[in-house]
Amino acid sequence: MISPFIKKQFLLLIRNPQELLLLLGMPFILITILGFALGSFMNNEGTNIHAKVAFVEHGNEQEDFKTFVNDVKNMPMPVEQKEMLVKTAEKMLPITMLKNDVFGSKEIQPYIEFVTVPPSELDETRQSDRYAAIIEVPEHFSYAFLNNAMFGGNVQPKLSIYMNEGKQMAAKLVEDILIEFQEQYSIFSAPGKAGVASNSLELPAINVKGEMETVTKKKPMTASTYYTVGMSVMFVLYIASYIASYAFREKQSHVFQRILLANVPKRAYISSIFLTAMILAFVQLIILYGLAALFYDVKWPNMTSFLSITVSLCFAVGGLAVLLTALNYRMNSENVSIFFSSTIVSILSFLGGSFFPSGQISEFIRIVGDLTPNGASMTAYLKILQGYELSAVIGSVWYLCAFGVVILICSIWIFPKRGDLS
Amino acid sequence: MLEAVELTKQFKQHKAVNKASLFLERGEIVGLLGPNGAGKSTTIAMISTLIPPTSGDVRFNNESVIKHPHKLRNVLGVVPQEIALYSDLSAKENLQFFGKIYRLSGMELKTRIEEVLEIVGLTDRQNDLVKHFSGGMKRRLNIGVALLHEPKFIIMDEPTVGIDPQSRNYILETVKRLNEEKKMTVLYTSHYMEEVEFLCDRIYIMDQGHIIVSGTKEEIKNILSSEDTIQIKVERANESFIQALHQNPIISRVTVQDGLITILAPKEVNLLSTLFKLADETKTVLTSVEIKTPTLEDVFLHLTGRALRD
Repeated sequence: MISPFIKKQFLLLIRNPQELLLLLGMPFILITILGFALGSFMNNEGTNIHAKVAFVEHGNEQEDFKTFVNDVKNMPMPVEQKEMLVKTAEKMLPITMLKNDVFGSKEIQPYIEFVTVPPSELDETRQSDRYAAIIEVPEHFSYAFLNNAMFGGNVQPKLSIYMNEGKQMAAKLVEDILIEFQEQYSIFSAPGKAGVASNSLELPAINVKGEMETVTKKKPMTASTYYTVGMSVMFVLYIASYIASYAFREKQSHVFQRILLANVPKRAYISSIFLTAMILAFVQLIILYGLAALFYDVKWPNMTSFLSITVSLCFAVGGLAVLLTALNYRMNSENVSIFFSSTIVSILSFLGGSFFPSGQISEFIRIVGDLTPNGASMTAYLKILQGYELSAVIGSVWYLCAFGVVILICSIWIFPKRGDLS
Repeated sequence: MLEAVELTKQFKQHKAVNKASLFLERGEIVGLLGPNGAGKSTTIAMISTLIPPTSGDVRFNNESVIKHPHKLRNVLGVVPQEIALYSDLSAKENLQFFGKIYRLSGMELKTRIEEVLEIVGLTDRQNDLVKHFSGGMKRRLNIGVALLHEPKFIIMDEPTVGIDPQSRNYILETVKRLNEEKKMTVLYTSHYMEEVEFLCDRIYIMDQGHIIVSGTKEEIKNILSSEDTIQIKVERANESFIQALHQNPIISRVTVQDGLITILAPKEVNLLSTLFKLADETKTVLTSVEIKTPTLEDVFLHLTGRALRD
């Protein structure tokens, strides 16, 4: 019963060059343009940065300082020298300076939000995409630093910095700040060094680069890859409005009356809309991703994950198509699907990050964006492209399926009854 | 038998159909005649189970089909006034689609499509897209789709609107043939009285939501058996002549359309001498005077005071 509807819609689509251009030509052209034009933009993430930096401190700097003071007290040296060492050390406490003078400075505050995270939440924080960087301070870091600075100890203090490859510009900013801090620190500590010249202290380097790693240890994203996903998840939404508009024109031209008179149940008609939209969306995505693989080398490392996201996205698009059809029928006007394609798709695409990583503007936009079907699928697609496993995106897959089911149920409720259909 | 019993349809404040009753016996062609906006399309939408009536009933073989329309739909074909086809599909693809939703398949579907294309005379053009068809061809295919599942009843809503005379004749002949050869029962709505006169055994005339008269052609025309219809052409329109006609007590109706004056008057009155006298008094030159046998149009004029195509 449903296969004639699907076949009919395919025939109508392939005979409509304008629709084909919108659904397949436009996204591919935009992938090309945006991929080339905004390649550098993507690498720099734009100009407005608001990065979150997590600070995980395993030890306690004050305890380290006390230990250091005790060590100094027990050293065989004059009391004056001991006092000078302690005073110098107090001014050199690296973590306090990092917190207060660097990330706490009014110049840095507008760009970087500094959040202290307990060590027990480190793993969770590393998996989260919310932070541009995580600074992990190992136990006894400050003690080792002071020892190294004052007495030239063998243990070089090391900070672990985890950079989020998804927020490269913000992460780079954090990295630059730390390098700058290290350099400034050297200058700052030079008087201290001079003050204890008799002990010829070596200035320790805070090892930033050596321990740098990405939050996820995953592949970075090129602009072409990003926009392949961004444009595909945006243009797949047009399938819903295309199908809904066509369904309404069936009502206007009284073809729908003929369908009713053929004793086709309402549920079969709704199912045909749902399945047709789903299959068309699937074909559209496969063609777009196929072309992107061919021309821009956008390869999917895990086909099972890719297909899971694609099918669940198509499921959501099917639900949207039925919803728009039901609203068109209910309002006896094509305006709902026209409004959807002309306005709502753009808003959803902005929120979902199709044009640029809009989630970096604010946490609110990121959360709302992930609630949109295109945003949820985009996040999942990008993760897969970065090498994540299916388990990392299964939440998005279920969310898209649930989204489809919920709006499908709403649509059945909205769809007019027999008496309101003519 | 298919029967509509006191069907009423109210849309907000507007009563589109008001207690309309009609019936169709097996094998007859019944006409539903009325001007645009009379309520014909709403009536047939209710009879064909597309919209439920506000009150009244539609009965098929003495069973109500309002709540259970399936039995009637299985034996009913409907030709809507609009071209209810996919214009980007070919004639054959349209028939295949509608045939499949009528649960036809395989050889049965193929045979039915061939038969229908033959009936509507589109065998040669079956692979052409409908959007390239003429208005008449689209109308014929519109009928063809309704014939696919071999319905016993067919309801046609103004199937000849906006087409050339040749296509119109073809469609009328097709309807006649379907009735005679396939014994198909037809409810034919139109505002062209000549179509209804040509096709129909019985006629219902509708106006402003009411069925104002029904019966065979002869029965309806007999309403005017006591009156003559006289059509007058004048050299130049003269308002005082028209006024004089209106004021004359023996003339029951006067209408003027496209320069043609139509009057109704009792048969027994010698109207011609009165006409010439009035023309003389108002200095009107008569170019022709014709006494006509009454038509359905005249009956409608007599009953409503308006022409069918007003």
